[in-house]
Amino acid sequence: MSLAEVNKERKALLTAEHLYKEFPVEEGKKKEAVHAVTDVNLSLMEGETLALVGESGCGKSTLGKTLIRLYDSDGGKILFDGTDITHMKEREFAPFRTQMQIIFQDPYASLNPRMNVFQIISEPLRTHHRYSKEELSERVYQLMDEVGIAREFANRYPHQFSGGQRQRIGIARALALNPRLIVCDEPVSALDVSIQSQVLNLLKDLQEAYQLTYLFISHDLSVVKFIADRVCVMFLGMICEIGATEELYENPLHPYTRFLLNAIPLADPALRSEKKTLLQGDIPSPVNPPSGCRFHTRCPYAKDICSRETPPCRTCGDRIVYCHFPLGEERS
Amino acid sequence: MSENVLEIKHLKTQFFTRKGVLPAVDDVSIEIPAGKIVGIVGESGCGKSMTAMSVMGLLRHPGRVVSGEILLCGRDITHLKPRELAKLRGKEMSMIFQEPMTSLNPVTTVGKQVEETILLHESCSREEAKKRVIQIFNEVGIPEAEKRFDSYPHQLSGGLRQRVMIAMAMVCRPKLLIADEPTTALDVTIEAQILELFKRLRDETGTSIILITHNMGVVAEVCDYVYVMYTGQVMEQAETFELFANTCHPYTKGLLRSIPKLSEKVDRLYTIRGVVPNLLHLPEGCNFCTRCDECQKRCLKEQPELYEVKEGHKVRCFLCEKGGA
Ligand SMILES: Nc1ncnc2c1ncn2[C@@H]1O[C@H](COP(=O)(O)OP(=O)(O)OP(=O)(O)O)[C@@H](O)[C@H]1O
Ligand SMILES: Nc1ncnc2c1ncn2[C@@H]1O[C@H](COP(=O)(O)OP(=O)(O)OP(=O)(O)O)[C@@H](O)[C@H]1O
Ligand code: SF4
Ligand SMILES: [Mg+2]
Ligand SMILES: [Mg+2]
Repeated sequence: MSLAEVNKERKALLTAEHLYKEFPVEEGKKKEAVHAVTDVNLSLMEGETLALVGESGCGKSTLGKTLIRLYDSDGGKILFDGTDITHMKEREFAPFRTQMQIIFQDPYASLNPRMNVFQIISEPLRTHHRYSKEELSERVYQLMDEVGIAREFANRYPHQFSGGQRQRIGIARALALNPRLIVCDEPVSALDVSIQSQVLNLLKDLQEAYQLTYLFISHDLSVVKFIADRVCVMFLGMICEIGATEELYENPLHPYTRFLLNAIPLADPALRSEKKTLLQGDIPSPVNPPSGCRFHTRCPYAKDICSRETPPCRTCGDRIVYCHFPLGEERS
Repeated sequence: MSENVLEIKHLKTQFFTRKGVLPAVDDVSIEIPAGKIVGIVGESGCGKSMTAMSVMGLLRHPGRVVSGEILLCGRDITHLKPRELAKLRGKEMSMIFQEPMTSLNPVTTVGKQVEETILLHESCSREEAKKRVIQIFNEVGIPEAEKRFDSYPHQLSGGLRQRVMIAMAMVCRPKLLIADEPTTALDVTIEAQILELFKRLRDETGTSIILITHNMGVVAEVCDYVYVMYTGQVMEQAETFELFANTCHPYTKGLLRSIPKLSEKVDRLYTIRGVVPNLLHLPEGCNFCTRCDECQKRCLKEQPELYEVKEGHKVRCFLCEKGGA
C-alpha cells in the first residue's frame, strides 16, 4: 500500500484549521505582536509521525503547544478525534488533556530535580487515577522497563543520570497516562549521536507497540528523514509545504524546502559540492513579518506578486504547497 | 616539518578534582598544517574543548597541562608565562568559544569590541582601527558593515553574532584560528554560510583552522584532516576522504552508522551500546572496550596504541596493530 492509500484509510486524530497564535510585545510605546503561528491548517493522522521542521523561531514549539492547548489560540479551530476542543472549559477538556502529552528538548530542565525517578513517573498517575500502592508501583516499574531504565534506579534523582537516560525518564512520564498523541519537541537535539540513535529507536518501538501519533519537532532533517511519515515545513509562522517524507525530500516544491535540504551537511566528503546554492541573508523579524509570502525577502524566485499576496494553498496529490511559483511547475 | 602551524605532542591535561585525577586530554598529538582545516570530532566530554584551552593557555583551576609539548610555528609555548601567552592570543592564534553569547560584552558595541582587539595588539590610530574593523566586517559577510559597527550584540541575529566573533578572531590575521562548535547553535542555512566563510578564509588568507564539532556532516563538508576523540584520547586520525572511505576504528564506524542518512531508508538505526564511561573510572584496557562490538579478551586488559594503517592514517585499536583492518 502506498503512503497515500494508507493515509486515506487513516483518520485524522488532530486537525487545525486557520490556527493563529500571537505573543504581545512592547516596542517602545507601540503595542505589537510576534506572529508566531499564522493561518495554519494541518491534520495529524492516527498512528503517523508528522515532522515539523524549520529554522529557529519559526514557530514550531508554539504550534505544537497550541495544538495540544498548552497555549490558548488566538483564532482558528482545533479538532481532536472529531471533537472541537478549541474553547472547551477545563473540566470538559480534562479527559482530552490526558490523551495528549509532550516531551521536551532539554531533559535537564524538564524534570523536577527534587523528585526521584519513581516520583517523576508516578506523578501524572496519581493526579489522574486512584491506584492502590501496589498498582502504582507495578505501573511505574512497567513504564521503566518499557523505556529501558533499570528498576533499581527508581530512587535516583535526575542529576544522577546521563542526558539520554533523562530523556527516557521524560518519555516514561509522557507514556504514563496512555496518550494517543505525543508532541516530541526536539527530543534528541541535546543528545550525542550514539545516544540519539538509541532514543530514536525507542520512540519508533513505542509508536508501534501503542499506535501512538507523533508530532515530531526538529530542525535536523536527517533525523526527520528517519522517523517521519510526513513532513511539514514552516517558515516564520506559516506553513510552506506538507508532504510524504520520501517524496518531499526527493522533489521539494517550495523553494525554501529545497534550500533547507541543500544546506544539510552530509556525512560523506564524496558528496561535497564545490558550489552549493546557499540561502543568503537572515531570517526576518516575526514582529513585522514580510508582506505576502513571508519568504519573499530571501527567495531568489520572488516576483512582484510574492510581496503583495499571500500564496494560496495548492494541492498536488497529497502534497500541499504555499507558493506562487512552486518548483515543480518551473521544471515541467 | 616546519610546514605545521601548530604541533601538539603527547599532550596530557588533567583536572585535579576532589574525587580524583580526571584525564581530560590523554596523550593527544595533533598536527595542523599551514592553510588547512583540521577537524576534532567526538561526543560530549571527550576532551575537544580542553585540548583547545590547553593550546590557548586558558585552562582554569583545577585543570593543568601535566606533560607534552605545544609548538606554535615551531616555537615551544608550553611553558610560557601567562603574560607572554596573552600577547599571542588574538594575534598569533585566536579562538571562537563554544558559548557565543558569553564571549561578547553585552554593553559595548560590536565594532568597539573588535577595535579593542586591534588596539591591544598593534599601535595604530583609532580611525585606522575602525577602518580595519569595517573592512573585516565586510570580509566575513556582515551586511551594512558601517551601520553594524554601532550595534550591540543583542541587536544581532545568532548568525551575525557568530560573524562578529569570527571578525574579532581574524582581525589581526592570526596564523591559527580555533573554532569551538562555531555552528552548533545556528540553523542549517546559517551554518552552511558560516562553513563557506571558513573555507574562504582558509583559501584567501591561508589561515589554519581547528574546527571542533560533534557533527560528522560538518567534518565531511569542510575539513581537510580529522581527529576522532573519545574519552580524552585520539581514537582515529586521517585525511578526511581517507577517514570516511576507509574507516577503521570500531568507534568511528559506530558513530558514522548511528547517524540517520538522507540517502537510505532504514527501519532502525544502528546504536553503540551503553554510555560514555566516567573519566574517573575508565576501564583497565581499551577506553572503548565497554561499548565495542569487536572487543576481545586482550582489549579488556591492555591499552592499544595508535597504529599506523596507512601513511597519515592512525587508529587506536588492536585490530589495526598489523596495519589495515
Ligand atoms: N512565551 C513567548 N512570549 C513571547 N514570544 C514568544 C514566546 N514563545 C515564543 N515566542 C516567539 O515566537 C516565535 C516562535 O517561537 P518558537 O519557540 O515557537 O519557535 P521554534 O520554531 O520552536 O524555534 P526553536 O527551533 O528555536 O525552538 C519566536 O519569534 C519567539 O521569539
Ligand atoms: N573544571 C572542570 N573540573 C573537572 N572536570 C572538568 C572541568 N572542565 C572540564 N572537565 C572535564 O573534562 C572533560 C573534557 O571536557 P571538554 O570540555 O574538553 O569536552 P568537550 O569534548 O569539549 O565536550 P562538549 O562537546 O560537551 O563541549 C570532561 O569529561 C569534563 O567533565
Ligand atoms: S582495541 Fe578492542 S575494544 Fe578497543 S576498539 Fe579495538 S576492538 Fe574495540
Ligand atoms: Mg522550539
Ligand atoms: Mg566543548
